[in-house]
Amino acid sequence: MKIRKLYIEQGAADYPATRHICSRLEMPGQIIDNPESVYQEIARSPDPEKAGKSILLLTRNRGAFLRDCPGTSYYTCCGYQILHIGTYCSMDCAYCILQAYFHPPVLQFFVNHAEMETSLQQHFAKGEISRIGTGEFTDSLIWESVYPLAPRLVELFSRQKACVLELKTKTTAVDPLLGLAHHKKTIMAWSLNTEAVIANQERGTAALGARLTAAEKCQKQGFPLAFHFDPMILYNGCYADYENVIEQLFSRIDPAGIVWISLGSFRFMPELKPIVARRFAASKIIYNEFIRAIDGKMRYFKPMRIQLYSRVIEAIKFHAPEVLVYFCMEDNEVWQKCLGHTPAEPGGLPMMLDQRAVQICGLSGQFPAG
Amino acid sequence: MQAETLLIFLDAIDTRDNRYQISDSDPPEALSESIDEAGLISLPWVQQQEADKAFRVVAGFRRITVCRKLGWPQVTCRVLPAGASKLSCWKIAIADNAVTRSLNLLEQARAAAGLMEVCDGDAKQAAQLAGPLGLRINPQLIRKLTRLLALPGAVHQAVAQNRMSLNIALSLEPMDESSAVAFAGLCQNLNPTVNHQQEIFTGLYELARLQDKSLADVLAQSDFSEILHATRKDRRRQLQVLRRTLYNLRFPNLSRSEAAFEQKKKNLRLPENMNISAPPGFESNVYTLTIRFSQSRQLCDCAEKLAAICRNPELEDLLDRSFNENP
Repeated sequence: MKIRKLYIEQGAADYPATRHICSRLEMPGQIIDNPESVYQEIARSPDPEKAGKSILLLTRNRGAFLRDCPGTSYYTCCGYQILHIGTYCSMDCAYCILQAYFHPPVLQFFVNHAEMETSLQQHFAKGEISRIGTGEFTDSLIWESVYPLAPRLVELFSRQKACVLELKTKTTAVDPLLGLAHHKKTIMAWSLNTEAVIANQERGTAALGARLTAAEKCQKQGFPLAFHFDPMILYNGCYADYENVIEQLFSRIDPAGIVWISLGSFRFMPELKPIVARRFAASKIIYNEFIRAIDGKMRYFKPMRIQLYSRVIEAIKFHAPEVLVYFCMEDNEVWQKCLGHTPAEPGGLPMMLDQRAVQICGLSGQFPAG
Repeated sequence: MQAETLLIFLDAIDTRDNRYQISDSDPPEALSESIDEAGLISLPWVQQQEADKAFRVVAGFRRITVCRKLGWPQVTCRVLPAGASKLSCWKIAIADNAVTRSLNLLEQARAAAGLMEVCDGDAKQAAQLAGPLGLRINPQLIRKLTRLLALPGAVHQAVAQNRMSLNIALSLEPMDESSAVAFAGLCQNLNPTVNHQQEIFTGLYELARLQDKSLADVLAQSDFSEILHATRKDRRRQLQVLRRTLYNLRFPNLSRSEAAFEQKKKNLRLPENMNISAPPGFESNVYTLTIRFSQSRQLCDCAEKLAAICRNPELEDLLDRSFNENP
C-alpha cells in the first residue's frame, strides 16, 4: 500500500489503531473535522479512482459493522455477512466495481475496533451459524502492511464455535497468520483468475503462482481454504486458460481442505463502463456481448455464461469431485444447466454453505431461521 | 470603434488572410443575387495594414468574394486603423455575423476560438464577451467548440451542416484521421438522428476495439461498404440495414437467438392482435403475451385461439431454452 496522504477524522485521532498506523507509515496525519474535504479533493482529481488509492482516511465506522451482503433480487446470493472494516482497495483491477460503487472511492480504514469487537461478540453470543467476511468492500489483507487487523480477527473467531471468518484476498500477506491457533474458524480465500487476466486487468495484485503458494502455506497450517473464480472473463482462449488455472490449483492444493469454490462472471453497473474505458484504455473487457440483466447490471448473454461455467465446473469436478461449487449471483436456470440442481431447499444456498462450513470448519450452533 | 468609410480597389484586399473569418467560404446563391440586384447594403469591414500592404478582411469575406465574382473593381468598406486591437476586430467580426443570422456550430467554433485567443484561454471571460455580440454561448460550450477546430475538415462540414452532433464529433478526437473522416462521411450520407449517431458510433467503436482495427477499417469491411455504397439510394432503408448489420456483428449470439425466436414465433401463426415477447436479453425465462381487443366478443375469440395455440407443439419449441446450452 503506497499512501501519499494521510487524513485523520477528528474523532478518530486518539484511537490506538490511528497511532499505530501513523507510526507505521512514518507520516504526519492531517486532522480534519469533516471527511467531505477529502472526498472533494479526490473528486476534483483528474483520475479520482487512482487518487483514492493513495489517500488514506482514518475514521470511525458510525454505522453497523456487520451487514448483509448487498445481493440483488432475482439472482441467488450466498447470504454471507460483511464485517465492514474499511473501504476501497490499493490494488487496481480494471473490473473492480468499487470504482463505481463509492462516490468518490477512497481508502478508509475504520479504527474504532473496540466497537467492532463488541458487535462481533454480540453476534457470537447468539450462537447462530454464520459466515462473515471482510472482502466485499475491500481486500481482506491489504491493510496488514499498516495495521495487523487480520491476526486479531483470526484470534477472535478462534474463541467461538458458531461463526466462520472468510478472509478473501489477491495478496500473499499471510505470514503473520501462519502460527496462529485458528481452530479452523478462519477460511483463507483467494480470488483466482487466469494469468492473462491477472497480467492485463489486475494492476498490483499477486501473480497466480504466488497466490497459490500463499494458499499452500495456509493449508499446511491447517487453515480451511476457499477459492473464488470471480469475475470470470471471456476472451479468446479463456477456456483453456481457466482449465490451466484449475490444473495448477489442484496440483498444489488438497481439495479435501477446500470449503467451497465460487464462480461468477464479469458483471457491472453501467456506470463502471466509462470508468474502465477511461482508466484502462487497453482493456477490452467491457466490449463483450453484455445484456442488461434483471438487476440492472450488465452481464454476459446467458448462454455464454453457461458455456463458460460448464467448462470450468467440468475441470473442477475432474480434479475434485467432492468439492462444493456454487455461483455468486446467478439464477436457477444457470444452476440447473451447469450443476444439475438449484440451491437446495429449505434454506437454499445460504444453508448449503452453512452446512459445508459446519462440516469442514467444525462449526456448532443453531442454523439461522428461514 | 473609429473607422473610416472608403472606396477600396478589390485588388487591394487580401482575402487569403482569414484570421478573422467566421463564415464558411462559399457564399450562398441568395447573397450573390441580393448584391447583384440591390448592391452592398451592409459594408464589409477591413483593417488597414502597414503602408503598401493589402487590407485585411475583418468581416464580410463572402460579400467581398461575391463582389469579385460580379466583376466589381472597387467596393466601399469600413476601414479600421492598423492599430485596432485584436479584441476590437474580433468583436466586429462576431457581431457583424451573429447579429444578422444564426451561426452554425463551426462558425460558432471559429468565433469562440477568436475570443479565447484574446482572453488568454479564459472561457468564462470569452462567454461574457460573446453575449453582447449576439453569440449566446456558455464557457463549457466554448471549450467544446474550440476542440472541434482540431478535427478534420470532413468533420467540420458534417457538424456545420447539422449532420453530426458536436458531442459525437468530439468523440472522434482520439481516433485516427481516416476513421474520423469515414464516420463523418457516413453521417453526411445517411443523415442519422443524434440517437442513431450515438448508437452507430458506439457500435462501430466497440467492434473496432474487439477486432483490433480502426473504425475506418471496420467501415471498409464488405458488410458496411456494400450498404454505404449502394447504387439505389434510400437513406432510411440504408440506415436501417446498417444498424441491423452493426447489431448483428456486435451481438452475434444474442442476435442469432433473437432471429431464431422470431422465426419460431412466425411458425406459431399468432393472430394479428396477439404477440409473444421474449424476456429482454433472454435473461429470465418469463415470456410476455399481449392481446389487443376492444370488445368482449373479440376477447372470447382470442381465448379460443389461445387455447389452440397452447396445444400447438410449436409453442413448446418457441419457449424451449436449450439454446442456452449451445451458444
